[in-house]
Amino acid sequence: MSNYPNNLQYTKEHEWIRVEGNTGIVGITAFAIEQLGDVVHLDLPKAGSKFKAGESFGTIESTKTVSDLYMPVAGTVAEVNSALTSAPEDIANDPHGKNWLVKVTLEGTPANLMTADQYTKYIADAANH
Amino acid sequence: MDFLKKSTGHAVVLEEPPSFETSRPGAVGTDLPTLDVPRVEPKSVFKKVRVRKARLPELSEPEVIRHFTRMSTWNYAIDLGIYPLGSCTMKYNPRLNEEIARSGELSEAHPYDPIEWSQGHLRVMWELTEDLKGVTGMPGVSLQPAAGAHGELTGLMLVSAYHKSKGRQRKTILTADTAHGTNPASAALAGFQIVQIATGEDGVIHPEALAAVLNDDVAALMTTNPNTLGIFEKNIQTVANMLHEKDALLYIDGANLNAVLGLSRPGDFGADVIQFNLHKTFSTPHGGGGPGSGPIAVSDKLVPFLPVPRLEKHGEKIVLVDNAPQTIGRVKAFFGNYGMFIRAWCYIRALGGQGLRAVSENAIINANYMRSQLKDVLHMPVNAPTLHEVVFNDRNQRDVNLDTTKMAKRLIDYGMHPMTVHFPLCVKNAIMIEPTETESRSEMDRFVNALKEIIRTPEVEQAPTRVFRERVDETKAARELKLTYKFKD
Amino acid sequence: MTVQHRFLPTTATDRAELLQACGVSSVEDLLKGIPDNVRFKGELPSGPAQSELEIRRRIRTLMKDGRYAKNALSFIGAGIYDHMCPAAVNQLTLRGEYLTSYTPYQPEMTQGTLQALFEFQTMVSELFGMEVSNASHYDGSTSLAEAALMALRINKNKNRLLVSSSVHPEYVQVLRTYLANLGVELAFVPLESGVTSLNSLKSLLSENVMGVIVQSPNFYGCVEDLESLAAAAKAKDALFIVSTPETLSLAVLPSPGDCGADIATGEGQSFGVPQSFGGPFVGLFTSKMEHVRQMPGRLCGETIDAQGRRSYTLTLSTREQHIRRDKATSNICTNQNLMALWATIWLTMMGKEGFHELAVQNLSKAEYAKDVLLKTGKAKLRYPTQSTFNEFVIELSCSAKDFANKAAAQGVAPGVALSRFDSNDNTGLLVCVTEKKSRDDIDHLAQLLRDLA
Repeated sequence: MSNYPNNLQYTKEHEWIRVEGNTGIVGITAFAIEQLGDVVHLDLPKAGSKFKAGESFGTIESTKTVSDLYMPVAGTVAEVNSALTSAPEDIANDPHGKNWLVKVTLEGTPANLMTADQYTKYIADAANH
Repeated sequence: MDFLKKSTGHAVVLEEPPSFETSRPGAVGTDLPTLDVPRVEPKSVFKKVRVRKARLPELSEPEVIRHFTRMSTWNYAIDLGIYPLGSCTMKYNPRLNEEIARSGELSEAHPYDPIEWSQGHLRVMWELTEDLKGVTGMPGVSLQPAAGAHGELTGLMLVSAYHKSKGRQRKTILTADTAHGTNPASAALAGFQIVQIATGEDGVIHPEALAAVLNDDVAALMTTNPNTLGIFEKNIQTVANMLHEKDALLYIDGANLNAVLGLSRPGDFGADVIQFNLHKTFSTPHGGGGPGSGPIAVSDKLVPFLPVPRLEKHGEKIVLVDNAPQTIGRVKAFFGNYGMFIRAWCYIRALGGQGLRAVSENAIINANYMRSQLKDVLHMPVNAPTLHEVVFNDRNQRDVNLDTTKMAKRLIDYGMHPMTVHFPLCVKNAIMIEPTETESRSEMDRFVNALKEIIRTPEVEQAPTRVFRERVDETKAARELKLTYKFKD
Repeated sequence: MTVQHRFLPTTATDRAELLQACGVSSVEDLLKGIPDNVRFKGELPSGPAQSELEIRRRIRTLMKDGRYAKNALSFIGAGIYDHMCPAAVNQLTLRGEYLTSYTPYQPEMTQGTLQALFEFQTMVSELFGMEVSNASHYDGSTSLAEAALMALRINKNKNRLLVSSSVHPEYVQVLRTYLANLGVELAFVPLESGVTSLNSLKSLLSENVMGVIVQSPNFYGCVEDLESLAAAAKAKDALFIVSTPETLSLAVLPSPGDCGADIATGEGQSFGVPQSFGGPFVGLFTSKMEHVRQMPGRLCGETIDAQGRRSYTLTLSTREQHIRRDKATSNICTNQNLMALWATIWLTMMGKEGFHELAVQNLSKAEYAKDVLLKTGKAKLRYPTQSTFNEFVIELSCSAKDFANKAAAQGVAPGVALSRFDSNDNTGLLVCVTEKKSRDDIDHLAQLLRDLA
């Protein structure tokens, strides 16, 4: 499996967050996308919406399933990747970089997140069950 | 091994576009008597009328017959061959049932007809409820729910009403990880939250697992018995006792009733509510996805809450009674899918009590035959006695890169519908097989031999190919939604 | 013991061979998994097996006093309508490839079912004037309940639902049952001269109303002013939901879509589906495209196959129970597929002109009936200022129930006495006249009114 960037932090629900000052950039991992299969639809919130850590902020739909997207850290949505909502299938290209989902103004501190190494081990363990 | 040229089993299979494309202005498919009263134009009666006529097709009768006949040849069906789908009970649909259900006696029978005219139909409903009480050993039955999932929802509403009547609000429903997909959805609709219990290595619910989550917020436990691994829940009596001690209820999903007719009755092991699937156990046709019918049976505790109207017998007359102060109300207008009741009634009359038991015995023999023929090639994740269905997975095929999905798709090229795949969820890449009692040995062997040949030839890619349409693009369908025909005008 | 039955292919020889292959000597060995204390050892009370001949004989006896056997005349509507059905419809739906096929989860082997569903969805959307239809629901009453659930999902923060008092009483009962555990408050909009009072609706509309439900033609047969009611709902951001039990009316009345409906539901029984003492029928469910992901039930979509040929498949099934489980938009596992097919074939045979003509015949016969019934001097129209389609309420000067009972003794059901639904209404009779009533039949009803009322 691909390497997970070290400058990101990861959640158990397969989201990642890159913290830059007071802004958190949020996306989902390559593992999640592989599990989903062909992505067909993305439902993202409006700018200005507030979310608690662990709260669902949208959904991603594939032909197999609809999955909730969970906010890694509490914050207010500042920007939404609208290019992606009109072509959600593109998310498979560069999911850890340019195909982020939302940018949030942080209102909490990151907690209960994994490093790249921890996340790599986490998904390896899940695959062995 | 005989290959079919076209796996749908028809020698001649023709293309046929949607009727909107072959439609021609002026063609007529039906006729009406000449109007024998003065003609009244809509414009003279209504302030506003429909802007333009609906763009329904215009085809003559022979063209309509050809249209739908050609389309029918693209379908696989029980009448053509086996559907070894787990928990679906794809058995033969008897033809007498169809004839009687489509007769004039039914096409002209309105629920609001004078009750004297309806006694025949009410009698059929009465006898069916007695049959269903007999099969379950439970005292109360409602025929109203229109489908299995509808019966589940109704059953859960009864659970909710029961607890409300005791002045409490319990929010939790426990389900086993072998639960049918509708269970959590129905629970949510009835206002509950689901907590899942893991089944043991032997595939069944264990009292310790239940004890760990059984608290005062548990309204009921939902499980199928036998479960979706085809295994009888051997601890079910203990489970029922534990639940009842906390005044929680036991919901049995009746999807697998075909395994236990005359062999085990849910009422005897403490079930409080069970939904039937007349289109599974009781032979009413699947029709391509419905209609079904999902009556429910309940224990004494839940009788007061059953939907209205209810059947009552006054001497020889059957009446409908609306007065029931604790009822949950109605879940459907009128009485339920009567057309399916009369089919099930015919089926039960044809078999009789002993015949129903023979159905289950033969279903169990057939499933165990499948098990005996496949256990040396497929991996069985849970080794326990199985009844009417058996679950394997693809573990033995992993090193040759042949997985559950590929095996299923390749079966289509051998002229049959695949078994259930990826369910139950507690088994990875599950393969779930239920032949039912109406499969002959030769048909079961056809399936077994096809599967064995597929396993012997893992290198075959791209399946299915011997079909009317190959690898339909489901992703494209979801990305570019085209849900209605695009008219030119 | 072995039972040889015509439904069971396994002979005594087969049974022995199968058991041997399983490595056991009797079926009892295969039942070890059932604990002894829950093993049933009695006989099921369903009696002896009966042959086809015996069952047929029994049915004839049971049905001898039925409406069909008596060739009775009925003017009952009230949500189930007596319409013609060409012979071809029944015979095509008897084909085993349609009747005994499973849900089209494997599109490669079910294009017949799927294309028919696509045609169904197209025709239903077209009739309702809406952008999208699903592949059908159980019936009109549960379609309406599902529409209320959908309004709840779309307008998550609102908790009030307004329902017109002219919606079919049984549909209302179903709504109540469905919404009982979900914290939704139902409020009823009173009527004025037989239709929903626009002023009352406006005064009941507040910020927390998620939706407004109106039936047209309503339970009393009156045509509602959907456009004005829709505008009032929209002004308060409430979804406008329409229910149409008599879908033949869509041939001549403005479509719910044209009137501003957000969700339009109905009952497809009028599309040639037999009355069958109450079911199975075919619930219809349509909405605007923007809400498609909140729509319950199955959906069939057009796509292509690997060879680029037009094909069909079930789509957006991720909203359904088997994938989303507790976040499903509904728990519905089925559509009423065979009845949807039935309706599709019927609509195809009626065609563009036939469907319209059938509606005009219904309207003409109902208007003629009003005329001759009023001329008897024994009945008045309860809502003389309202336009109706094929159903209307007459006011008798005696008990409507007594009149109906006397008429029934003479082989005629003159309509439904409204006292069935409202114990305070003793004189109202809901009369339905379809194309199946001849002029003589209608004159006969008038004669009965003269003689018995």
